[in-house]
Amino acid sequence: MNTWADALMRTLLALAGHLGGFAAAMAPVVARVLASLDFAILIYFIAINVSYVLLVTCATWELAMHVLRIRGESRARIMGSAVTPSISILAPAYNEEATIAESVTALLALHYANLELVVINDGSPDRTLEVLKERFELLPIHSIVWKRIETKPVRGLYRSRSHPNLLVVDKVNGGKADALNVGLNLATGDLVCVIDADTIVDADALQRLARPFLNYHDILAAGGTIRIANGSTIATGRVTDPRAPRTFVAGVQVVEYFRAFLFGRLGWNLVGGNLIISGAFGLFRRDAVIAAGGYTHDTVGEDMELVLKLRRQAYEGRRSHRVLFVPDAVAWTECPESLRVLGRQRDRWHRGLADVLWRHRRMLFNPRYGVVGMWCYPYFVFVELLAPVVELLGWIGLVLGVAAGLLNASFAILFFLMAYGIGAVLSMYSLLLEEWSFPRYTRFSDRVRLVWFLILESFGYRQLTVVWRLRGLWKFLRGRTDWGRMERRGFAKPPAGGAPPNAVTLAPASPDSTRSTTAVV
Amino acid sequence: MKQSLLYQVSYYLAYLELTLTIVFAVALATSAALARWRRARHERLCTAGREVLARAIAAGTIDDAGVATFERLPWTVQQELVHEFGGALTGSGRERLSSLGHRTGVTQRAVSMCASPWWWNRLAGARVLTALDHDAPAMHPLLRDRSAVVRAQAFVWAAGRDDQAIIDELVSRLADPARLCRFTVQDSLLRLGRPAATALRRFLADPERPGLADALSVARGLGQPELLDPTLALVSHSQGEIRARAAAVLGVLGGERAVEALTQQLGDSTPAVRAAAARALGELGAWTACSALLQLLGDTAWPVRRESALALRRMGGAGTLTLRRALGAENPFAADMARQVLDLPETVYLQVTV
Repeated sequence: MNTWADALMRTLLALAGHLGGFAAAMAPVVARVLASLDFAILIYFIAINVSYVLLVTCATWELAMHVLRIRGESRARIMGSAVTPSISILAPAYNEEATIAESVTALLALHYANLELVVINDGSPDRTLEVLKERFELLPIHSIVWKRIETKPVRGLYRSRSHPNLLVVDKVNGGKADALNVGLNLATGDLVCVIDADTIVDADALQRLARPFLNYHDILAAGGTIRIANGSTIATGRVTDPRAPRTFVAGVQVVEYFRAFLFGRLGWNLVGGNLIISGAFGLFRRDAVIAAGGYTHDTVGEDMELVLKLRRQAYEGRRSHRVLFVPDAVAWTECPESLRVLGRQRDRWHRGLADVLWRHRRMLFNPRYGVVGMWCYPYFVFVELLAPVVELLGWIGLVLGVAAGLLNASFAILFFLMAYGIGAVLSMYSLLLEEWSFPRYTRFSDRVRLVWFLILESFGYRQLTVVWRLRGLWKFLRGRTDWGRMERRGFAKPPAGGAPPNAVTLAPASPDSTRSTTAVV
Repeated sequence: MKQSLLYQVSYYLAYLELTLTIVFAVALATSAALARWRRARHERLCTAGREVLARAIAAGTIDDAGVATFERLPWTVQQELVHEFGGALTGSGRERLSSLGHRTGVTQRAVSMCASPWWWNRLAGARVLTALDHDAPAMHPLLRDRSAVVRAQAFVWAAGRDDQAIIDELVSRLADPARLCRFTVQDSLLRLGRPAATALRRFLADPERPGLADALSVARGLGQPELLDPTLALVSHSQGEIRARAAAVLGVLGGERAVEALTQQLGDSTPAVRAAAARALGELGAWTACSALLQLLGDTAWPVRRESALALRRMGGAGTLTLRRALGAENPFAADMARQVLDLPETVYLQVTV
């Protein structure tokens, strides 16, 4: 053992000696490269921050105008009108037997007059369909379907006797995009609302989300805010007591979601550059989506791909169009509680982003595509997609610079603080925007916890997200298109006395948690 | 040199970020603390205001102490209570709320807000006057306000006025450039019901007017016989969308002339018009059109074939017989659609919509 260790040590020392000599010879070149790299990164950094400041300004203005517009409005009167557009909710379900009945009941109880619910059982091997049949008295029906989008075969169609506006489709497994395309073929509403089967939608969220479709004739899609339900109390399919998550991994995602929605998407509203409508809660004009050919199958970023496709076709057809984000239309979702699952999710998101941007690469700096081609698309490429690469280069440059003595340690620390400080500023400002507009957390302790998560985020978590996103990029370059497994922790019993009867709390899972589902759709 | 520049920039940026983070954190803490205090105060004031309003509306009068209590409430609370009660009251309850608003000065303040140069103030004033159902002259100019959202609110207010001049103004606004305003006008006209029919007839009489499509949607909802003549004139309009909507209106109005016009529309060059006409004939149960609908079962457009088949199914015996005949048709599309519709369970075909 000692002999091996001695030999290894001698080899390493010899190698270090050679490298040391090489390094000494190359020092001026390395110094020049590092200085240029640092300078380039600084320029990139300033450009990004200017974009952020513009987006933040736009988001603040947009939010202020939105709050003024909706203060004191009577949605109930308008939504009870005979001329409001009808909405079909498309809810794909795969292995959701534990929660499907409650989810569907909650969706049927949404406050919208002209509502149809289409649940698509995407070939679940579990009892999802049986549960639906038993709970909602489903009757098999024939229907005349115009198959405008090609999909996997439909095995059966059912309509509920107790809820005539509930249509259930049983089909051969084909993934989420295929399930949604089947729903598009069957839906009859003017608008289609796309949700995940486990999304918890606020009772009045559809009224709020449909508002832009009443305001503008050229709107293609609108997306709502997705909030994280982990830690909140849920009763009869609604979030009744919103709380900030207790765990760091879930809590830090709340901060990220605030940043993404309240300043990112809201900021793009004003300049007309929204490219993402979350697959968990979005409203689309059905005719526009069908004309665009529906969802694309062979991508893991099908929600962004659809929006980009809709916008691209509108630009190419020289049609005025809008894609808007509605900050007060809220849906809740469960986020990953473990780093392993979160890493897979982020890896997939980044792969999806890369794939979608690659498919529509013709739009980059193409004036034909207006603000999207000249500003929004480049932003997504250089800021969203390539940020982890630049961040990695920055880290390498910083470490090499310090190691080579070109940068001192105090500068390295200063640069680190500066680079990550902007994230903290934006996160803090997002929390402030939430507080001033549509606050949900009523307890002071929740805000303190979020601020704490926000501060901790820069130390370790942000670096991990870089690793996950780089992994996603690497997998994209290798052509991987799998979804990975998204394990959900599920519902646990609420704390004693802390919630009304029949209430459940999305809480960290324990080995004996009451439910654990795996959603692949 | 470069490192020095980098250092300087990094130093000032980090310093700025730290300052901003602290400022925002302090603002957040202050906002959160203030929000908590304001929530508690707001709840207390709302409860007091609700008691005053509930007593006054139940009793039909309000005493001076009640007026004084309500007047002391902040404007935001007064607005909220007026919206809350206004949305839930009708008839005499609404009238009492309106007189209460007048006595407590809420109406006067809302009226003065309607003249504000800021759109959000005009909007807030219009919303209060709508909730109070107050017939204020200050609302009339808002029907032509430069802000679409204010105009739309004025149209909501107008739905409660049985005044021919306002109804005429509403109908003319079916051609409003803002989608929100057109939507609100349609809704208000439908809520007004029969009084809106005369003005709508005049509007439909001019085939060149913009806004005809929305006007026909309203006409379909109203279903007033006096709208038949202008609608019949529109079945030969140059735009397919107008012809299709006219067909839908005729499907509600009915009568021999309507059936005759609809049967002619089955030969229209636009598939959407043929489909709409077939649907309308089915809704009317016009079995005399069975043979024409049989021809359409072999149409090149899927929606036309579907609507024709469903229309035949809705017509009862004669239609079902026609569909059975179509099973042996040479055109495989016609036979296929007939088979699909005949296979529909009795309870289902009526629910199938486009």
